[in-house]
Amino acid sequence: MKARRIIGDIVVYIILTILAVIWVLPIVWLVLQSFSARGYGGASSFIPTEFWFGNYAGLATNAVVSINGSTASSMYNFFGYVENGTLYLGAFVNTLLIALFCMVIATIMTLATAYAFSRLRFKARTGFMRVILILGMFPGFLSLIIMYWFMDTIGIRQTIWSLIIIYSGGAGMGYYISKGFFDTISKQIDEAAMIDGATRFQIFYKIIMPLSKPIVVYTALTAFMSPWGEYITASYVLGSANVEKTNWTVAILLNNMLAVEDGRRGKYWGQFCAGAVIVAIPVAIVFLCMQRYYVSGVTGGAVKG
Amino acid sequence: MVENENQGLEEAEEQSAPSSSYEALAGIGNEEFKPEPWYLSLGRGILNVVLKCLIWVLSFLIDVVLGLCKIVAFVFKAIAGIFVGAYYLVRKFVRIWRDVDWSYRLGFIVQGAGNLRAKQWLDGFVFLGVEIIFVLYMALFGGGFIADLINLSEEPEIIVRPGGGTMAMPGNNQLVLLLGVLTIIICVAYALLFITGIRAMYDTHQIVHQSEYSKARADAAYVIDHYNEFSKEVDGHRKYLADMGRKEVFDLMQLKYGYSRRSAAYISYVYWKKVKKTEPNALENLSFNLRKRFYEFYKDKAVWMRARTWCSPLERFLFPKEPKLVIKGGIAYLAEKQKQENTVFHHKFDKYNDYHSFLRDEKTIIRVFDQGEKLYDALFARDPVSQSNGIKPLPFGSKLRYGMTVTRVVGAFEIPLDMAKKVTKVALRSLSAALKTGSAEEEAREAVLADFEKIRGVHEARVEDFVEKYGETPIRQSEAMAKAYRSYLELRRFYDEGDRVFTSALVNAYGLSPENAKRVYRDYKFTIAGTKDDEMESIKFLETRAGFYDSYTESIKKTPHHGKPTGSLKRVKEFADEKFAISVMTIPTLGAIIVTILPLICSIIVGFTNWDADHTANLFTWDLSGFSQVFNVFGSTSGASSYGGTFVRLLGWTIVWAIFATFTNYIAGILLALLINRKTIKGKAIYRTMFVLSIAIPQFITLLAMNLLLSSEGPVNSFLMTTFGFNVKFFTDTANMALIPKVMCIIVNMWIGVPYTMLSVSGILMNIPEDLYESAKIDGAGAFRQLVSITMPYVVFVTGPSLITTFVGNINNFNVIYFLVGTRGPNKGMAPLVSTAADTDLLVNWLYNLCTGVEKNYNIASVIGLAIFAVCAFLSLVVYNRMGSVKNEEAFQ
Repeated sequence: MKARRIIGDIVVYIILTILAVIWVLPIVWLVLQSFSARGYGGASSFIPTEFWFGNYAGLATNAVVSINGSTASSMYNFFGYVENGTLYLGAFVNTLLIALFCMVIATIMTLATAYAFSRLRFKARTGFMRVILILGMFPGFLSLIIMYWFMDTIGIRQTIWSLIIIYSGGAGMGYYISKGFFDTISKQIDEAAMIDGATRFQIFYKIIMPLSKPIVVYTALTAFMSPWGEYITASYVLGSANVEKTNWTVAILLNNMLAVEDGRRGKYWGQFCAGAVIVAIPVAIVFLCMQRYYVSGVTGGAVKG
Repeated sequence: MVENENQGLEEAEEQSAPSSSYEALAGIGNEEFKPEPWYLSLGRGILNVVLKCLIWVLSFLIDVVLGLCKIVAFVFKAIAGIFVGAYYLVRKFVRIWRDVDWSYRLGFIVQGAGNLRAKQWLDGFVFLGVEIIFVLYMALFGGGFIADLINLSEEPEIIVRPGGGTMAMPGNNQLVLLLGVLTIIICVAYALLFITGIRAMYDTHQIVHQSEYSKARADAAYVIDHYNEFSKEVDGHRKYLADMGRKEVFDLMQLKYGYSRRSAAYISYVYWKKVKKTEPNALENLSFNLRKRFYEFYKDKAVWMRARTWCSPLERFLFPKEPKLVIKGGIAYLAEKQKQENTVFHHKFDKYNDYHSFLRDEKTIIRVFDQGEKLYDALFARDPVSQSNGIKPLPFGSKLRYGMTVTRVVGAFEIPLDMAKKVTKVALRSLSAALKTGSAEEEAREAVLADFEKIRGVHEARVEDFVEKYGETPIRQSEAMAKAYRSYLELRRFYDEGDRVFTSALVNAYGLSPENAKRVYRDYKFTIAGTKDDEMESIKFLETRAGFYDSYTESIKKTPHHGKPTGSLKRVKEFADEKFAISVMTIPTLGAIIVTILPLICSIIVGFTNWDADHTANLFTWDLSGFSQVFNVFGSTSGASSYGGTFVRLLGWTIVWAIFATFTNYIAGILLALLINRKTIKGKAIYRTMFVLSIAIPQFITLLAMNLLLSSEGPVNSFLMTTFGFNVKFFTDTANMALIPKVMCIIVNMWIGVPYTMLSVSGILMNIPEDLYESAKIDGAGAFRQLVSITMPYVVFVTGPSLITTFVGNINNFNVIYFLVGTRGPNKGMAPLVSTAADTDLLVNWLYNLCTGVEKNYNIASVIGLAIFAVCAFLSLVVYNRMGSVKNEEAFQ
């Protein structure tokens, strides 16, 4: 029996290790390439032949730096720059602002909707839930085109505000997991509080919220992460050719670094990798640290389907 | 005991199977327990799963068919429902219009007028403001927007240049579309608000005139109760009251029985609505015998049936000859219902007025200040409750902390917090006033207690005023009315002197209000005219009227009427409590309307236009070419590229993709989670972190990295080239309808999808109760058996419902294909495909290409989007309705 278990363990270890290596390999490759001195053509080897930190330096100074030290003109605006005393925000700062705004707005909206559906009984509640379920099926891209005109009409096209509105406007419709979590909290708590004369608002704010830390963290986390790495909406709303690059987000910026230029792809390959690493690090750290909350949020909410 | 209970069951079992579970349990000690061989359990497990899957698929298919039927039924029902709903709404509004007086009727045109009339300032001004804004908007812009939307112009707009001459400016049709739809949404919202406004106005009206409404309902109940007496009295040639029209009933009630206008209207309404329905249709042609048999059969049930269904069609069919019986049974039911309605009416308006809450609050305050010494003690924590809680009594002159004091008052008097706050504030004020004089404790105490006494007096006076105004007056008026009706002989002479003298006599001698005096005069007039001055007859009729007022007095005493709509401040406060749902849902709903519903409607509309490369954003008009091009599947698949053929081909790939992407991730994720969570494995956290890394990084980075890693210049291909001498076009191969790129997309999707399933399944695995495994182990179940019988069902039960969300998400999974293959996928624009589509494109990707490419076929994109939407919505609705957790949502909480 014991021998069987040990053999089983060894097999599982081997499988897991192989899988884990496969899983991590592309990411390791990306990180290694961020130190590569050559363009993409030189990326045929897994490990770069020369190590060099110029890619990161180039991001900080918004310059394309080649290995022999010559600096090209300001190309990509990653962290922002000061010109004639005016501060121009870079893609990284833009994205951070958008993600933070969305995190706050979307979290409040999602939790409020989930609470209303879970705890409050009002007319047309089930009707609302069904309509939201159906609306969620609509392909987002079509809505995006029309949102673009809408933003154009109210005059905030191609600003980060338009993105914030688009990202967080429909946040209430993603209430499912939070509602599932609220459903797990006993209703008797509410009733007891109500007998003590607490209003619904007080119950929500003073009783349910402190009990739902995992779901608050989970909601905030997803609300932060989704705009952080979002490309399609951002590129459609901000990425047209005529806009100043000061409004770009990192996703547009990095994707544009891989565009075909001078007849070949990946002239800024090293810088793309460096940028990707910098963009990935904060969310990866946040995500890994908050994994616990993520799991309890998902499973707590998913138990009810 | 248990044996006794189960005896029947066990006997049955023994008959069917010789070895019952009981014997098996008894045999454990004697025989050596043999665990099931692994192949048997494996086989059974597989069989089980396959069977379950089959059953699930079958029932799903049945559900799909049912769902289709339901959709057809729903559409019909919805269309009919709109008309019927509108009819009922209009009918209700007509009724409201009749019920209210002119100042409230103004509310139908000027929103909020009725509320302002009833001094509901907040509601009134809000409704009024919204109306003004809406009217201004519609007059200045909205009307034009809708007109433009209806006539989407193909013609360019001619604009006169500032310098002279004209210029053809293309009209901005996309703006027209957007603003038109926005205006329509605003109109719908306003219509809803209009309905709400009328309802609010009517509610207010009912509160203010509650005595009359209450009486009308009581009168209706009375008439229904005494239906037979009433119907006997009606003109001889008419057998039943039910034969009469509404107007006739109305006149009869008002003129002959002297009911008030509102009561008569209400009674006639009840007849019109309910009693009329009971009038049996003559079904003379039916066989007599059949009817008789049915009648015998249902005789006993008849009463129950009548009460239950209030004259169902069946009943009308069964008792066509028994109108009396049916009506009689129905009348009893109706009278009961009418009484209930009266109670409901009172309950409903208790919520909306200040009467009870005001009295309750005031009485609490009086009770507290009545026990001045106790309150004084509570302030200084000298009361028994504080003592028992171990709080030290505070010395005189020490600083009292408001929060603590409030708590002590709550404890001492057991009153709600908000009341305690009110009381404490007042008490502390008088205490500090007493302290300012600088006198010794005894004197200060005396002063404070005297002050408390004074406060109590003020509140008592307030209560008296209030009760006098809203509680006692109607009772006194009602009693005076009854008295006035009974004093025919005394009042007859005033009647002859004219209405002025009559009413002033009533006002002075009986204490009636002028309105009530007028009412009495009117009733006298009708009665005297109706009875042709026959004194006995008149007295008889007026006596009936007086009888109503007697019963009315009783009813007021039972349920006092209130007549004071809730104050503005309280109505605002309601938004944190009863109406919290409104305050919470408003912003998310607005957001959803702007971000989802507005685009949805616009997209649907675009599908009905000819907006494509030939007709640009400025020059499109109404047309159905999009639908005909996409759904003309069979007409144009032969060889040439067509939208229909492309649609079918890409739809097939989309569904294959969605199935594979969903289930590979699901199954692989569960397996991975099982491996990682194996009990003897160490370093779980490290492994998990390594896997999670691929989802912690934004998708566009990981997918782009994958794309480059596997591209023709990438390290994988150069490795293959140098080692084996060949390379694979992972994402550009065109053979077999781009089979390799498709498979690669599914595999890469696993790379970024499996960790999600792994994470959530890990969480679920940790939640499975340990004792389940313990008991399974005792039963001799091996590891595999445990997996099949405990772990898998649990995991599948919990995660199953989320599969549909994942499935739909995968149908719309734009990112993977976009970043891996790009917008120029394999076979792009090749023969059966139109120029905008590639073989690897999902429908959404095609949609993107259509909208962003040169052609800009927005109409076709819209039609495709709608098709995707319809499929997804249908699927998820079917599955959503199957979920047990949705069916018994309440039971879960």
